[in-house]
Amino acid sequence: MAFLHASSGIMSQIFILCQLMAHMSYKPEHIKDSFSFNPFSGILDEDLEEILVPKINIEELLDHIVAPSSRMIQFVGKHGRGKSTHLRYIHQLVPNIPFFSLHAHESTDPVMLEPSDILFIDSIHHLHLRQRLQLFRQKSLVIFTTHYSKWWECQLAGKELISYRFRGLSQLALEEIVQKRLDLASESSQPHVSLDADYLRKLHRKFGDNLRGILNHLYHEFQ
Amino acid sequence: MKDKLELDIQVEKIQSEEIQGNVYLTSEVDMRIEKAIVELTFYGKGQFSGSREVVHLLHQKQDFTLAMGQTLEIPFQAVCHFPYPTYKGRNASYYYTVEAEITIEQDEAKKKALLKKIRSVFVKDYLLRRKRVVEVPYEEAPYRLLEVESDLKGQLPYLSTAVGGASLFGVSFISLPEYRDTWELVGQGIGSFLISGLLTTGIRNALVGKFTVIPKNINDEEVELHIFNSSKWRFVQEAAVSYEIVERVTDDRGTSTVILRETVFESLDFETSPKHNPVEALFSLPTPGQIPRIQNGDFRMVWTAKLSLTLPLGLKLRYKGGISLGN
Repeated sequence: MAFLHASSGIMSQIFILCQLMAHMSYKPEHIKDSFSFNPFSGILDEDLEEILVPKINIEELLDHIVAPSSRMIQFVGKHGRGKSTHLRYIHQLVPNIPFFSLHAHESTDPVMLEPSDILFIDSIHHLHLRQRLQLFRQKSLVIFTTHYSKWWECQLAGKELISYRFRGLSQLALEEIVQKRLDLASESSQPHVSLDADYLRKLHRKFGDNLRGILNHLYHEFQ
Repeated sequence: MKDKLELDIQVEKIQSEEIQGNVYLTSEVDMRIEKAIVELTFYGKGQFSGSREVVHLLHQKQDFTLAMGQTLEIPFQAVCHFPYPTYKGRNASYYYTVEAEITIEQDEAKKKALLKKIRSVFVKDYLLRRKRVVEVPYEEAPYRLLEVESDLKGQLPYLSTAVGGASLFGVSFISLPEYRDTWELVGQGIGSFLISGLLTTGIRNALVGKFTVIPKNINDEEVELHIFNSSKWRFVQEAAVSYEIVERVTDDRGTSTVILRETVFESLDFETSPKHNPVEALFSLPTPGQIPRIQNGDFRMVWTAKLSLTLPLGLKLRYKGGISLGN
C-alpha cells in the first residue's frame, strides 16, 4: 500500500515535470543549438503566413484593395517596424498585382513602365518626387511603404490617402512574434520552448518598438 | 481522440555525389493523396532576405491511396551535384535539407478535417511539409585567383588630415575678422578639414604614387601577390602586404539597406623594405572548403589585398584593393 502511494507520488511529480517540459522558458544560450536554422534569420515568402502577427486590420485593407476608388495606401513608420513584412504578406493574398521592392542605385524604369493600374511598392522613397507624383496621378491605387508620410504628395496629385502607422510594440505582441519564429525553426518532435519573458522584457526596454533591432540582437545570440 | 497523420524522413546515406533514404507516411484513416514530392533543397538564411533553391527532385508520386494503418514508404536515391558546401558564418548560413511535401486531395482534406494537426507538419489543411537538415560531405577544389590587375585605393591619412585641418582652422581663425557667428565658424571648420583632406591626399599621391596588385605564380596551395608602385617605392621605408577574406552580406530587408562585413580569414603579414618594383609577396591559400565560394545577390566572399606603408618621420599609409577569384 505504501509502495503504491509512493509510486503514485512519483508519477504525479513526473507528470508535473512533463507539463513544465511541454512549455518551458529559456535564455538563448540554453536552446540556441536545438533548431534546424537560426529562428531570427530573414523570412522567406513561403513562411510569412506562419510568422506574421498582424499590426493592422488585414481584412479592412483587402476591402480597400479589391474595391479601389482612386486612393493611395501608405504603411508609414521608422525602419524595422514591420512595414515591408506586412506589405509582402498582403501581396501574397492578391498575387496578381505587381510588386516592386526598390533599392538605392537601381533602375526605377520597371515601376514607371508597369501598365497595371494597381501597384505594390516597397520603399517608395527610392523614386524621385516627380516619379511619385506621376504614379499617384496615373494609378488608381498604389500600396506603398515609406518612412515619412506622403500626404502632401497625394494632395498635389488630387488623391485620397489612407495611412497605416507602424509604431509601438506591446510586450505581448513581441512574445508572440518571437514564439512564432521559434516554432517555425523547431522540429515537431521537440518540446515547445519559449524565450524567458524577463529576458524579452529587457530587450523590449532596450530597443523599444524597433522590432528589427530586437530580431537582429536575437539572431546574433542564436548564431 | 483525433486521427493521426504522420510524416517522417530518414536519410540513410549521403556521400559526395549521392543521397539515399526514405520518407514514411502513416495515416490512421484512408486517405487519397494527390501528390508526394521529395526534394533536396539548398537554403541561404541570415541577416538578409534569404533564398531557397531546389537542387534535385528526389522522388515524385501522384494520385494514390494510403490505406488506414498503412505506412507508405517512399524511397529516394539520387546522384546529385551539391553546388556548395554547408556554411555557418556570422551573418549568413547556407545548408541543405531533404523536404517531403504531401498534398492531400482537397475534398478529402475537408472530410478529414478532424485529423490531428501536427505542429510544423501541416502547412495547410491539405498540405503537409517536413524538412530534415542534412550535412553534405563536400570536396572543394583548390582556390584559383585570377591574374587580373586591380588598383589599391588609399585610405584617407586621418592623422595628417586632422593636423592640417586644425592648423588651417587656427590660422584662418586668427587672420580673419574678429566678429563672426557660429555658422561662419562651423563653415570655416568644415572648409579647413576639406581643404586639408584634399591637400594631404594630393601630396600623398604625388610623393608615393599609385599602387596596383596582381596575383602571380598561382598553385593549389600558394599565391604570389605582386604589388607595383608608379613611384618605384620612393620614400617608402617599410611595406607590409597581406590579404583578407570578408563575408559581405547586404541586408536590404525593409526600407533601408545595410552592408554587414565580417573578416573570416586573415593571412600573415609579408614585411619588407622595398628595393625592387614590384614587391613579390608569397602567401598560403586557405584550405579548400574553409571559405565557401557562394556568391549571390546578397552574399559574397570578398578577397582583398592590403598594403601598409611606413614613410619617413614615421608616417603611415594604408591601401586596399580587390582580388578576383576564379572557378
